[in-house]
Amino acid sequence: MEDRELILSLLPKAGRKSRPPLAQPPLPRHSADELWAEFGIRLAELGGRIGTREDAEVILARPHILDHESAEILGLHSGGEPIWDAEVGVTTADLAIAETGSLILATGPHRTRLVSLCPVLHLVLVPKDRIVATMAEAFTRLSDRTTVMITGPSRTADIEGILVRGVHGPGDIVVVPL
Amino acid sequence: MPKGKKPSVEAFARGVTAETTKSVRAASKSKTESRIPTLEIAFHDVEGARTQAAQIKEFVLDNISSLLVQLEAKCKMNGIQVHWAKDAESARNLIARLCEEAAPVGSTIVKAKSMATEEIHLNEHLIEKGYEVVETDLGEYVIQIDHDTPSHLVTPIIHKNKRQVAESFSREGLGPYTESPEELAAQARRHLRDRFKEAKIGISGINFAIAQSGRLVLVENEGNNRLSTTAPDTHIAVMGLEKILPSEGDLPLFLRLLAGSATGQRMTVYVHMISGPRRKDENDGPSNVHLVILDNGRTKVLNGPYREILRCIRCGACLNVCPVYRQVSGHAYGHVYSGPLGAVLAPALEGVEQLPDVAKASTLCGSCEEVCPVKIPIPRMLLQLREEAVRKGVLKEPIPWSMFVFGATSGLRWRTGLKLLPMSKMAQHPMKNGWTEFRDLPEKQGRDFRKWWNGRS
Repeated sequence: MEDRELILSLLPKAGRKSRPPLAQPPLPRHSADELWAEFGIRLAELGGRIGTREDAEVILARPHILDHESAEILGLHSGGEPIWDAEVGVTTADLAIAETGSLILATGPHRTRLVSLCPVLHLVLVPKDRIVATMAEAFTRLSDRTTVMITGPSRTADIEGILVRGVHGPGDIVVVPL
Repeated sequence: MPKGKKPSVEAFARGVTAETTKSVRAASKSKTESRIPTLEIAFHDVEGARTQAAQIKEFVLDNISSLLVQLEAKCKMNGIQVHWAKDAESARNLIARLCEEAAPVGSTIVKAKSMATEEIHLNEHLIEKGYEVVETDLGEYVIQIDHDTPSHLVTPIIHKNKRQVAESFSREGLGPYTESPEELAAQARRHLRDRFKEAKIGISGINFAIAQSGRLVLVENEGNNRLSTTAPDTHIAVMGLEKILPSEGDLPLFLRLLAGSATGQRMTVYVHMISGPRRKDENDGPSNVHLVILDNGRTKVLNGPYREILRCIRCGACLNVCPVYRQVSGHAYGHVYSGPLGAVLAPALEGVEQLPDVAKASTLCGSCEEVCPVKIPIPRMLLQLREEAVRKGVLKEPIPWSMFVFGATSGLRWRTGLKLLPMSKMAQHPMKNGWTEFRDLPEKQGRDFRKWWNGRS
C-alpha cells in the first residue's frame, strides 16, 4: 500500500466544486421505422449492411457459431464451429443506436464475447423494438456487466491512411432487424 | 530512434527525410480535414461541447483525490484488483510480479496499444524477464518488428509508407511481398491470431475510467484491443491517474469528441466497457482483471503551472494540425509524447532540465489550442516552459535577438551600429548562426542606403 498512500498524499486536496451539469439535448421522437432507416444509412456509410431473415439463412450456410439467444430466435440449435474456426459469428444485440449506426452487446448468462469478434462476418439479430435515437439514450440503459459498443466493421488506416476493413475483428457486419 | 544522447529538435529535424515528411504531412492533413465536418454532425454546438468537456476535465482535476478513491472502491466491488505505482520503475516491477503470478516465464503476453506502457518502457522489462511480448495493433506491430518507436499517439507508423511496411513483413516472413495495405493487414491478422490463442496475459491501457461505476473504457478500431482483453485469462490495464471521468453519462460527449478529433470518425468501431472479470455464468473473458494507477510525475504536474495538460484525452488532433509536427514527425521530440501535447507534457512530467528545448518546437500559431477537444491552452504553457528553462539556465535566451532589440529601439544606437556594422565581416544578424552553419555569409556589396538617401537631391 506504500505507493497508494504516497500518491494520495501528493494529490491536491479535494475541491468542493460541484460537477458541471451535462447539457441534455431533448430526445427526438421518432417511430422505430424511422430510426431503423437512419440506422441503415449510418451502417452503410461504415461498410456494413442491413439484411433480411432470408439473407441470414444464406449466410448460415457458411461455417458458423450461433449464440443461445440467436438460436432461440431463429429456431435453430446453438453452437457450431469452434470459436477460432467459425467464419460467421451470430449474436443478438441488446440495443441499436440510430444516430451512429452502433450496436450494444453486453455479456450475460451463456454469452460468448468472442462470437462477435473472431469470425470474419458478424451477423447481428436485433428485435425491432430494441432501437434508440441517440447514444446518450443508450447509455442510460447499459447493463452493469462488461459491454461492447460496435460501430461498423473492424478497420485500420495505419498504413498510409488507407482504409482497410477486417484487421482483427469482422470485416463484414450484417444487421437483421426482426 | 536510437538510444543515447538526444539530439536537439532542430538537429533531428535536419535529418528527417523528404519521404518521412511526405507520409506525415499527407496523413496529418487528411485527419485534420475530416475532423470539423464530423464534429459538426455530432454536435449542434461544437464550441459548446468542447467547453463542457474542458469543464468536466477541470472538475476531475479539482477532485482527483476523491474520484480516485471512489474509482478504487467501485473497481474492487466489480472484482477488479487495483494497484498503485508511484513511478515507472515501481510500475514495471509491479506488472512483472502480476505476470509472474499469472503465467510462467516464457509465456506469451499480447499487448494492445497503450501510451502509458510506452511511457514506462514496459515491453523491454517484460522481455528481459523472459516473456514473449507481442504488440497486436497493426501499427504497433510494425514498430515492434522494426525496433522503432511510435511517432504519433493514434497512428504510430505515420512516418512510414506502405513500401517500408511491405519490406518489414516480407523480412519477418509473414507472407509473400506485397504493398497492398489490404493484403498486409490480412497477413498481420493471420500471424497474430495464433498469438491471441496462446496468450496467457493481455496488457492494455485505458481511455477512460468511470469513478461512479468502476468501469474501464477502451476504444479502438481494429479489434486487437478487445482480443487482448478478452482471450487471455489475465488482463492488466495501465492508466495514468488523470484518466478519470465522473460518470457513464459523460461518455457520449467524450467518446464523440475523441473519435471526431482523432480520426474524423463519428464513433470508434469498438468501445469496450469492462466491468470486471468474467462472471460464473459467462462463457469467456479473463478471470483476473488488474488496474494499475500510474503517477510517474503526474502529481507534480497537478500541483504546478502545467496542470491543464492533464485534461488531455490523447486524440492527437494537435499533432495533426501542427506545422512543426508535420515537418519533423514525432521522433524529433525525443519522447513518447510528441507534437504540441508532448512539447508540454514530456517536460512537465520529466522536468525541463531533461527536455529543455522541446517547448521551442512550436511556431506558437495557436492551432493546437483551436482544435483541442478539452481546450488546453498549449501555446501559453509552451511560453511558460521556455521561460522556466531559461530561468533554470538549461535553455539559452536567443542573445542576438536581445542585442538586436537593444540596437533597434534607440535611434542613436541604431545609427551607430549601422556605421560600425560593415567593419566586421561577422555582422550581428540575429539569424546568422542558423544560416552560416551551412552557407557562407556573402560579402557586403554596393553602396550604403542611408548615405544614398541623405545625399540624394
